[in-house]
Amino acid sequence: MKTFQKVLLLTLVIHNAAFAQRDLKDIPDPDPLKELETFIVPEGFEVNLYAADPQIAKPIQMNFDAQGRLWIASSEVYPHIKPGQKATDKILVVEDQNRDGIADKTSVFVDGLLIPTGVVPGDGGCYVANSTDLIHFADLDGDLKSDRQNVVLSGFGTEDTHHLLHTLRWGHDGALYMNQSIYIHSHVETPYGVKRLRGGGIWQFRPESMKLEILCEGFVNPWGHHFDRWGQHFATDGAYGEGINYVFPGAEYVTKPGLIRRVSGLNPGSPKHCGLEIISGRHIPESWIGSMVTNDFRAHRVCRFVVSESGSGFASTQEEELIKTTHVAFRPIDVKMGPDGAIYIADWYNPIIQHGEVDFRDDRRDHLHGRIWRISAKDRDLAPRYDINNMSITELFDLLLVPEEWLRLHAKLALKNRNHDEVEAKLGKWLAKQLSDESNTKRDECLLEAMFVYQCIDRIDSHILSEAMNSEDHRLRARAVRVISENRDKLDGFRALIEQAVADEHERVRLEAVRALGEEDDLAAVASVASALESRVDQFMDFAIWKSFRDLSEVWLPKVLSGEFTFNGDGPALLTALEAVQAKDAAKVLLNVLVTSDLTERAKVSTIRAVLEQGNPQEVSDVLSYALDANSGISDPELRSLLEASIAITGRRKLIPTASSNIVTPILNDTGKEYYPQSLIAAGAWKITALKESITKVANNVDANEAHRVAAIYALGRYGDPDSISTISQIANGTDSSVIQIRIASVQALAGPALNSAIDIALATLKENITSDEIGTLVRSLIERKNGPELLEKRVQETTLSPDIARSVIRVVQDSNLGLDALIATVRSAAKLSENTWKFEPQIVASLVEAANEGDPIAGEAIFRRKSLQCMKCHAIGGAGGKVGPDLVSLGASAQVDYLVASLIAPNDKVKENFHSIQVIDVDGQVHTGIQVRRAGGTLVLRNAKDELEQIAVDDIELEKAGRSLMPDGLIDDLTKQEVADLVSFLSALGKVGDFAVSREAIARTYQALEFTPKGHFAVARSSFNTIATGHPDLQWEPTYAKVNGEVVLEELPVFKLRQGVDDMSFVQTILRVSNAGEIGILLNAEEGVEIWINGKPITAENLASFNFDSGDHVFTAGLNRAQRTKPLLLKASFPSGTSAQGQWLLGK
Amino acid sequence: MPQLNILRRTLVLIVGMQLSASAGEPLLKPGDTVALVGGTFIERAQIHGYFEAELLARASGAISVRNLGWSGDNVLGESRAVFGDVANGYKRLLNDHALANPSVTLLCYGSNEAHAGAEGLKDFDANLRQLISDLRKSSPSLIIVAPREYEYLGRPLPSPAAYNRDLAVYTQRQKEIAKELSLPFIDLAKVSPIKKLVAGKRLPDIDPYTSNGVHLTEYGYWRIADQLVTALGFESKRISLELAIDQMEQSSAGLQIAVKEARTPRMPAPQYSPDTVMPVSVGSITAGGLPKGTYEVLINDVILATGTAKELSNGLDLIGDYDPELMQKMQYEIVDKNLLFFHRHRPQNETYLFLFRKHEQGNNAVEVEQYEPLIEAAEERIADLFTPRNRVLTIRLAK
Repeated sequence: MKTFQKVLLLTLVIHNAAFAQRDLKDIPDPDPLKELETFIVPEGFEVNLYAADPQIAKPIQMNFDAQGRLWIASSEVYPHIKPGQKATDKILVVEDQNRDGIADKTSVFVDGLLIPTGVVPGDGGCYVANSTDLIHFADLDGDLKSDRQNVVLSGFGTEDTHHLLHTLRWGHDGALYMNQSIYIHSHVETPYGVKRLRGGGIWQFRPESMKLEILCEGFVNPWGHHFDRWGQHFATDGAYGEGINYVFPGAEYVTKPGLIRRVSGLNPGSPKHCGLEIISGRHIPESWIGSMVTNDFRAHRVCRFVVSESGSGFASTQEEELIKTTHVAFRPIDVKMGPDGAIYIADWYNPIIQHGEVDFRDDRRDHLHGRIWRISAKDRDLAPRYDINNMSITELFDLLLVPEEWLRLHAKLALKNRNHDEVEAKLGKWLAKQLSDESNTKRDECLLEAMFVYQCIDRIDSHILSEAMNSEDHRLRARAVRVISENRDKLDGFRALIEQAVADEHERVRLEAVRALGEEDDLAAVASVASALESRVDQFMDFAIWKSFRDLSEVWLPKVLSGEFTFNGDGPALLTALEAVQAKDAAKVLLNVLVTSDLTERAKVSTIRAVLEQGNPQEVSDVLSYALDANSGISDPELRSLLEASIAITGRRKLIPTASSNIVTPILNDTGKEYYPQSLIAAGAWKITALKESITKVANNVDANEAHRVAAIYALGRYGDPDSISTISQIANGTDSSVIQIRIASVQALAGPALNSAIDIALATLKENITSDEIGTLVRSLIERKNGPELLEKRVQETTLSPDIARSVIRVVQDSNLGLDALIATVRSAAKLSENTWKFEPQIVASLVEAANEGDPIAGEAIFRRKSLQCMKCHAIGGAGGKVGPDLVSLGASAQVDYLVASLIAPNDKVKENFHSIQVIDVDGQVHTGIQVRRAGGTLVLRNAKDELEQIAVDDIELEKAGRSLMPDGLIDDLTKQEVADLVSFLSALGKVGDFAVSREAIARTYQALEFTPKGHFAVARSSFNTIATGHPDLQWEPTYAKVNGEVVLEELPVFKLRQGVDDMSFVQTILRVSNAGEIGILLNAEEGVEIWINGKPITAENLASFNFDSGDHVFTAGLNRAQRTKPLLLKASFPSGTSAQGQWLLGK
Repeated sequence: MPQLNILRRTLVLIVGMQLSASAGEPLLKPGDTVALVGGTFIERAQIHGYFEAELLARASGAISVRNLGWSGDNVLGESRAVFGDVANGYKRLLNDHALANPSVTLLCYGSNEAHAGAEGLKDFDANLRQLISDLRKSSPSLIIVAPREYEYLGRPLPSPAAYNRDLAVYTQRQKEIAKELSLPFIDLAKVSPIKKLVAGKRLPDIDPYTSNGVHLTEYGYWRIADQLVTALGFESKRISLELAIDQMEQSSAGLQIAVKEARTPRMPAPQYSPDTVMPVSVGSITAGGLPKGTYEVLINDVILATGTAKELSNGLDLIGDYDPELMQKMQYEIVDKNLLFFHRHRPQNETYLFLFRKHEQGNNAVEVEQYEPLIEAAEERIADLFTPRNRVLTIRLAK
């Protein structure tokens, strides 16, 4: 029920949205000009209003036709028709006849539709996604009014009106692409049979042949789909946040029902996006060409990504937005490049996002407004216009080479409607001429476009395909493979071409070939897929191979299981394939491969593990015998972990290898073997009675190796019979009970079969000299058992614990997150921890001072930083931290250890000057306590213990007296002696030369960490990380401070769990205050797992180098990917020689 | 204009030919509620309502039609599963069928199943029997309608030759099951045969009913309505008038006679029908005794026939659409009622109204039942529109 969980998860996120939306009361003025005023666009661009209500309303999707007219699907009925209501939704056609960038004519092409979610002009009218149907509306007389309608396809699901069939788009291959979303279940009849798509995905449809295929499956709500210059597909999603997605045939994304493996998006952690358009043409500046534009409709932004090739797939980074605004009704949902080369944005216009979580009949739902915005580049020529419908075939060919994607597409769609024989004949000539010109720099593009045209006219030319396959440009080769794959029935040399491609030097070409092979049905194809494993396999290739193995499983799996096909002895390939289909009965095959094939050690080990997971007792036994055979070639460390794995796996599978005794016995004769201890445990786990006696001897043998004895005790615990239990108890309570490891092992071994005995031994052990790590092992082995906490609590009540032991126990229990408050309280009372432990008494101070001299300052810093102690809330170190108490930057250099100890135990006795608090009672009887910050102008300003400033009018002061130290008594009572020692050791190291002196380098040390709050989480989840960087009112930031060495401790930061499939994130900000403008270098200690924004603008970590800063404050935001980032964060500024720049990181709270 | 003495009389226009293969009583009777169950063929029948219009025109009393077609469906109800598995689809099919509360069910499956070829026949047989048995629990009367063959419209659409061979096997099996269970059986492949251009060599079918070989166009539905209603045993009830002029009354408009329709008019062919489609004959008239001259025969000012006195005495076809306004209303009401029922049994946003997000919009689910009275009201309007009327027939000299 994986999918169900995902659905729940989504629901959860949406709840938050609902929560936030309920608060929305300020409905903005719908005047478009007022909306326009709020838009922020990049330098060199401008926005104008192209069309707006009442001319148009509620645009859902838009597409331009060959004449440059904009077709808009418009719905006022959305989200749900009322009983008796007549559906009145429309297809509108908007024209800018005088070409001034503002629409001046609107035609209602179709009326009476029910929530049309997609429109694309074509075939003498337009195709419309309308509820369950894809309908073609024809304009027979050219008056921009539909004359005739024909349902083309039906059976699309309607389970959610914002998931319906949508995002219609013509491909350059002449196919109509259509998307549907997660809740939609479609069952569509075609002449070839019923096509069913349950859930999200992208359809590929050819109206002329009625061929309907599924390009990819999954996604949540993919309202963006476009293709790059070389015909590679990309998609965006309006509900799951992985930014740009690379799409290839058969790819499966996050929500595919029954999903096992998936293709990830290129920008995990992105907000929801809607619409997708890849920038092309002469009007937009060169640097933006190829950028992918999509909309963050929740955060009112039009976003831009730069996508580059990476292995078999792509990588994507976010760039500066095209539009950002605070206007809450700006809901950009579609984006298209227009005939003039400008970028058009459909603005659904709504103060609420109008998703299902707001009541269908909510008054704030806007049913009236809608805008089309036009973004153009200032002072640049518009794209040239062509009268496509009246151009000759050859003129249309020439148009295939222009920079504007829109023109190239419509040229091809026009060719599709011309006489195909004539197009084919002329195309051959045109291409020959282009290719014969040696100076032609667009030879590859000519071949590309020729392939597209051939697809449009549903023909094939093998000569062009082999030319393309032999191009030096892998992008062309990759496209050629796709075309070859889609036309396999028409190509004689299909398989030879694919064989060539699967051995191609470029990964993407191989990926296309692997996917093409997935549709074949013979063993040679399987072997070809396997051959792709020999080269580099990245995430996209991994998916492609996995998917093709699955698609071909009916071909190879029965043959593999019957032993007829062995992947030519290629064990790893066989393993990969078996893994792909999650084959259940393959152990025999795997065993055979082990014996007959020449495998690397790694391949052997994974094969053996697979047999352990799948085999029957005999097969498990055989594979272990094989592994442990001297000739197996498997090293001792690997054998040790294999034995460990086999104990765990057989335990989980409740299986005992058939010849278990034969496996274990030989090892037991060789105590020198590295895996001897594991073999002891195995004997116990598999309950080999014949060996129990000899194992008991090992356990009892005080002269034996301690590790062996521990293993023997574990083994006896696994036997778990009364004899074994009694043996363990005797050992633990016997003469050699001083060996702490033996006792811990005994507790662990007994916790399962004899919990009470285990607790007895544990409590006895806790009375002695034992490290906190050892306490941890002991306590965990008890509390992580069923009834363990209850029994332990009961027994602790009957005993006493030393305070330090108790503290360690409490920490272990707290860290377990099991919510065992009763146990903690019992432990506390068993140690009488309620009283002050660390009394200001000479001998206590002396013993602590002594201990502190042996303390560990590194551990001490961690204690200092503990939230429970709140040290940093009041004390800064080198300016980073609270200001209630003194800055401790050079404490160690100026204070003695005994002073520090005394200050910690009895803060009131050692108050630093100027840090005496005062208590003020005002006229209202309110008591104010704090450190005086200033008293001037009739106002007293106090800094209270929360590091907040309080102002009291001097005239209002009734009573004023000296207060106590704001540092509370008993603050360190819950610390163990060792911890106090470590803390003091740290404090005394501060300021001394060494690791705990604050560096003079310009290292950022004061940060704000983004707190996890429901509102903040919602804000992050619904928008991009960019929003975090640019600021959002719902985000709550709390100060956090770097360690003395400048490192931000990741583990201390609040974690944002955004959604399934997105790595956890943390965010911090810091400020660089530049006093003199100029060049400043920015250095980062490690690039992995961090994204940096400077003043809200994303900077890739690799690019982080040198910048020209204006004077003023510059906000640095770091997004830390908690799955990827292992190193702490450290940001440093450097000032190159000769720079006039001056600046520093802001410190303080 | 000759002077004529006329007796005023009312004639009942009666009975023409009968195309149905079935003899005896029609399979549906006034008062019936008919559920149409099947895939896209059934589902799209509601868009223009031709079958229903023709059925109501010929039946001598109200019959309610509930369209339960669901694209891509099969005897397992697979398309109706929404988020569930196939079993949920089947449950949904039975539930929706019960919701329609039919007295008769037209079961039209097999076209999607036939794509599985011989391999799928066994399952189809078992599943169809199960479905029949389950549907009969709420609708005792059941009629099996086997699908029409696919047409061949030429490349790039595929040749359906192999499919049609498979389909014939499925149809044969349906016929056997029907016989075995004593259910009426209609084979659309026979009732509505595909006309091939050249026998032997596979060339595109002439007069195609479909846009893609599979799915009927508006014209196709219009054509098959007549064929299917006839197959259900309803006589076409064309006008057949034999008059003597002395039965008619002289008026300034010409010779007139009041006649009562035996049926309401047939829908005219849709606007975008093939060029070869001729206007439909609504019947014939034979009128003897007229003086020489050329005459026009009219109902409602619409000329249905023109001919000389001799031609009229030999009989003329009555051709034309004599009450277009009424037909528009009829079609509108049928289509509207179907849409209301569609929203009733298959509303949008089910996820939010009834399923796992009903905590968000479940309060709006009450609206779905509010379609019931709207459907009732539409049914009344339809019944009223399909009540045969008195018409005045005029014969006058052509101008």
